[in-house]
Parts: sequence; C-alpha cells; structure tokens
Amino acid sequence: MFLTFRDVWNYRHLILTFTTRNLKLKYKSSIFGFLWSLITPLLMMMVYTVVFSYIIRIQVDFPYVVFVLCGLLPWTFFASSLSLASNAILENANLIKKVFFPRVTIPIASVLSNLVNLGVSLILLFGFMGYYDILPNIHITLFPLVILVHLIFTIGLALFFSSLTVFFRDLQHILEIILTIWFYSTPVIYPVSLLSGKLRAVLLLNPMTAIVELYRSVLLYQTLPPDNPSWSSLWLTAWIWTIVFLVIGSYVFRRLEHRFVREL
Amino acid sequence: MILECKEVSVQYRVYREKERLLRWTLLNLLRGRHHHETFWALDRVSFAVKPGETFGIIGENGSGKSTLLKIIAGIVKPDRGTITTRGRVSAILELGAGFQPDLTGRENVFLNGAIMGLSRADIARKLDDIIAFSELDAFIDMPVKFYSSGMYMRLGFAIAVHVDPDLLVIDEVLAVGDESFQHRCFEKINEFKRKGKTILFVSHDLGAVRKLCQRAVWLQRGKVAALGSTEKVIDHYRGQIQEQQNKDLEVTHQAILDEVKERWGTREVELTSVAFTDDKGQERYQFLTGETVVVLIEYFAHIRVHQPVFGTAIYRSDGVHINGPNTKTANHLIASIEGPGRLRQIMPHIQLLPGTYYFSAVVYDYSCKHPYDHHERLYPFTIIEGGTREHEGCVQLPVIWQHEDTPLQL
Repeated sequence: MFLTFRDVWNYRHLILTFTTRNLKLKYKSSIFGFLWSLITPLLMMMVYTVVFSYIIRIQVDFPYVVFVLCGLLPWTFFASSLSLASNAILENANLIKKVFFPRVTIPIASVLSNLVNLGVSLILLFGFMGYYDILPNIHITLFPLVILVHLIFTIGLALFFSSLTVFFRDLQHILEIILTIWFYSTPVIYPVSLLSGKLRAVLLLNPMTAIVELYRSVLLYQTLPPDNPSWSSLWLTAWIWTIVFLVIGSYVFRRLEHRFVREL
Repeated sequence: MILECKEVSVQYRVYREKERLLRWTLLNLLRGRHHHETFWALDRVSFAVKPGETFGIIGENGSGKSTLLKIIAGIVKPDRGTITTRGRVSAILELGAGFQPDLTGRENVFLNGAIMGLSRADIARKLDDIIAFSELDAFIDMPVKFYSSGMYMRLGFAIAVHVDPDLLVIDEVLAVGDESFQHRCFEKINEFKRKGKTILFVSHDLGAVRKLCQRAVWLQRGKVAALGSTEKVIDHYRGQIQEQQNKDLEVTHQAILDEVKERWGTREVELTSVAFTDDKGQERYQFLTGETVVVLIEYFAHIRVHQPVFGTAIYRSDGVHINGPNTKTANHLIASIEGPGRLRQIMPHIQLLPGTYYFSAVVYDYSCKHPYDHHERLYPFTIIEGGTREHEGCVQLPVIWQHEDTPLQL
C-alpha cells in the first residue's frame, strides 16, 4: 500500500531526468537562468534585513543577514517544492495519460529540482558566513543528516498535495494560504527566543521549527543558545513528523494514483 | 502467454464540471451521494497473445480500443478482471505521446528512454541508431514544438522500436508520415516479426491488419465481438458494418418511397422496382470505390409501347448532377414492350468518389417529351473508401501524368 522503494530505485534514472527537465524548463527562456536561485533569496534577505534590523529591531545572536538566510533558504526549498509538486501531476497530464511509469517519480523530481536550487543558494549563506567570520564547527558533519530529514519530510508532504490536488483543484490555492500561515509560524525571520508561554509550546510542535533550528544548530551555533530547545528534542520532533507525513503522503498517493488518468 | 486479459472491465465516470469543486465534493460526501453517471468502456474482455505473435485489434471509434491499449500499457488499471504482461512493453499510443514540447529531440529521446526504464548510458548507446532511423540528424537539437507531425511520429516510432521491447504496441501511427517512412516502419515491424518479438497492432487500415497479423480481436461497444484468425475477424467486421449501413439506407429508402413526392408520369409503363446489386447479384446499397454496380429496373407496360426510352441519372447528396445516360443516346433501341420486363444497367468499376448519391430512373416515349413514369432521385446509395487515393471533386477520371525537366521553349 505504501510507497514502494523499489519503484523509486528502479526508476532513479527517470527521477533524475525529470529533475533536470524541471530545471531546464524553469530557466530555459530566462536571461539570468540559474542565477535566479541566488537573486531571489538575496533580494528577500535584503527586504527582511531592512525590515527587521532597521525598522523593527529583532535581537539575534548572529548578524541578521546570516540568521535570516539560514532559515530562509530551507524554507524556500520547502515552500517551492510543495508549490511545484502540488501542480506537478496536472502539469504532466499529457505524459501520465499516454505513457506508463511510476507516478511517484514526478513529485519526487519536483522536490529534487528544488533541492538543487537549495544547493546553489547555500553558496550565498556560506559567502556571508565567511564575510562575518562565522566558521563552521564540528556540528557541520551532521549537515547531510539535516538535509536528509528535511528532504524526506518535504517528499512526504509533496506526495500528499500532488495527488490530492488532482481531485480537489482548489487545494492549490488553499496550499498557498497554508504556506503563508506556516511561514509566519516558523522561526525563519525571528528567533525562537522571541516567544514564550503557550505560543512557544505551539511553535515547538511545528516540524518546520525543528528543521529550521536544526539548520542553524549545525551551521551557526557553537553551543545551543540557553533558551533554545535541546538537540534531542529537535531531532525527535523532526523525525517523528517526517515519518508521520511520509506514511500519510505515500498512503494517500498510492490510493489515488490509479485514478489520475481518469481525472486528468 | 506474453499478454493475457481475463474478464477485463473498465468503468468511466462522467462528471459535470462543477462537481469537481471542493464545495460539491464535500456536499456529496456529506449527503453520501454520487452525482455521476457511469458507463463501461470495456466489458469483460478476455484474450491472450502468444510470444512471437502479431495480434490485431480492430473496432470503430469509441469501441474501447484506446482504453484497452491504455490497460495493456499500464496507464489505466482495470476495475475488474486481471491483465498480465511479461517483459518490457513499448507502446506508441499516439503521435509523440510523452514528448515535452520545450525540450529538444535529443532531450526527449533521453526522457522517453528513462520512462521506459533505460539508464542514460543505455540510451546514449542507442542514440545514433534512433537518430539515423528517424532521419532527424539536422533537427535533433531543436525543441520538438517546432517539429511537424511527421517528424514527431518518426522520432516516436524510432524510440519505441529501439528500446528493445518484448511487446510492441502500435496504434494508428502509420497513418501519417510519407510513403518511404511508412515503408521503413513496415520493414521494421517485419524485422520484429522475424526476430520472434510480439506485436500488438491497432489500425483502421484493415488491409494492413490483414497483411501483418495472424490473429485479431474485434471490439464493439467495449465487448469482444469476434476473436480468432485475422481473416475471419475482418470478414465478420466488414459484414456487420455493411449490414448496419445497408439497414440505415433501407430506412431512408423506404421513407422516401413512402412520400413518393418525386414521381410523375402517365403510367402507361410503370417502373415497378429499382434495385442495386454487385456483380455477383447480391443486393446492396453501399459499394467500394471502383466496384462494379448493377442496377436492375423492373417495369410493367400496361399497353404496347413502341420505342420506349429508359434513362437514369445520378445526383450527389448536395444536388450536383453527375450523369444522365439513356437507351436512346446509347443507341440501344428497344423496339416495343408489353407486360412485365426488366432492364439491367451495368456501371463497371464505378468511378465515383466516396459519398452519398441519389439515383433516378425514368421511362419516356421516343421524343423524350412524354413521361410514362419518372422516379426523381428516389434511390440513395453510398460509395465508401475502397482504395482510391483521390479525394477532390466527385469522380475519379483516368488521367496520365507526364513530366519534363526542361522548361518549354516558347
């Protein structure tokens, strides 16, 4: 019933081909091409920096530029993956209606092509870290593991949204609203320490809080700030949610994928 | 068995647009109601294909052929019944199905290969053969949205036959493309047959099915109407179509006769029956282009009539008058008639193009001024495609072409 890993492995070439196709199509007719995966986060970073370090002053332990990028890049990966994936089955209707291949390759490729963008945009973060003399410490060895949990978490949700949108087209619009609310409920542009009490408890239940904080903890923090959630609680929250969403997402996708052709 | 269908049934839902909206879906869920109609696109279809066989699927549009192919290709799952296939299935379901318009021909080769489960290295090895077969070397790095439909088809066919499938499914694709490419496609198909590969061939071109396939299945409204040797299945199919169309024509024929608006004359001689047959004497109202058509006119002369003139005419359904021969102009003099008699008009290798025509039959006196009995366009018949290549106008006249390379010296 659940996502078969054999399908994913057997069709890894197809997933890669779809991934490169997504990237090619995205940048094919634009002048800046790949540079856009640097330009967009750079501009967003500048906007947030101006707002939150000059207009509303938010106190963070690091230069705000580095702090916000460290949350913004993972968030952008997550949000654009879901936007792309929710539309992916519909966009590939022509392919799905006419040729057979495991459908699961499509949402996975949507996420992977955004992962490539994340990889490119990380250059920006590392550049600013170098500029501010923030050198990575031993924790950076855990960075691949953070990416992995984030990737699987995103794939789980991508499976869920990409399959359901075929049947409820409204979900695309609903997703945009969900993402906006989710963005402000995640400590991307503000630190966890800003909140306290009930609000903080709710914030800590959010899987994206755990993931964003994991990025910061492996890339920036020497030691965790005293009022931050502990390492073990971050990892635990991230993995539990990841498994929950992967199970739900692949179950829903498996149940619905046979009906795609007749709905498209 | 490389392919086995057992009692395969597929049900389609017909939605009205608004029912897809969340509001309606939720409402219907709450009410526990389903507001859609259903129909069976395939109804308990069973057949099996042996390895090395070339198997044909025929049927009219909407008979479920496409749905069956989608099931075989794995795109649709049957609602009931089972389907088993062995090995790699390569399906050419439509012109360049699965091509991405914005990607180049080369990129699409890799995409299609990956869809069929090949690795990049595998495809790279076959790339040259594919490009050579498609004859698209000059265009392979151009986005396929700029391709003509013929180029699309060439590339699609080239990929499908080069991925080394165990079962090759070909649907109607040979209808486009120029003569020489069609020829090479058939050569490739024959090469597949020689290699003992299994081919599933779907086509409206009964001639091609007859030529290529050993066995065939005929689908009608989602059900198997006939299954067996190609000859038998095609004969069944042809016979049934003819019967249906003859029936339709008889109905119109009768309706026209009932009205009898278009009949006049003094009735000293009465035309009692006008019937169409083929050269074997079989009564028919539908003929293939180039077939011999025989019209049998029966009459009854109530008095002795000297030198009557029998005539006929053919009109196209839009009123174009095609011809109007009679026994006088043909110098076929009939001295006198009395009582019953019959007249046969033979049109050898009728050169009308496909369409519906109306036939008039008349009998006049020698001056052709006095009508005894005039049946104006009372008898419809149709001509269907029987291998003509011409489609313009209403008749195919014998023509001879001559071509010279040098311009005329004036």
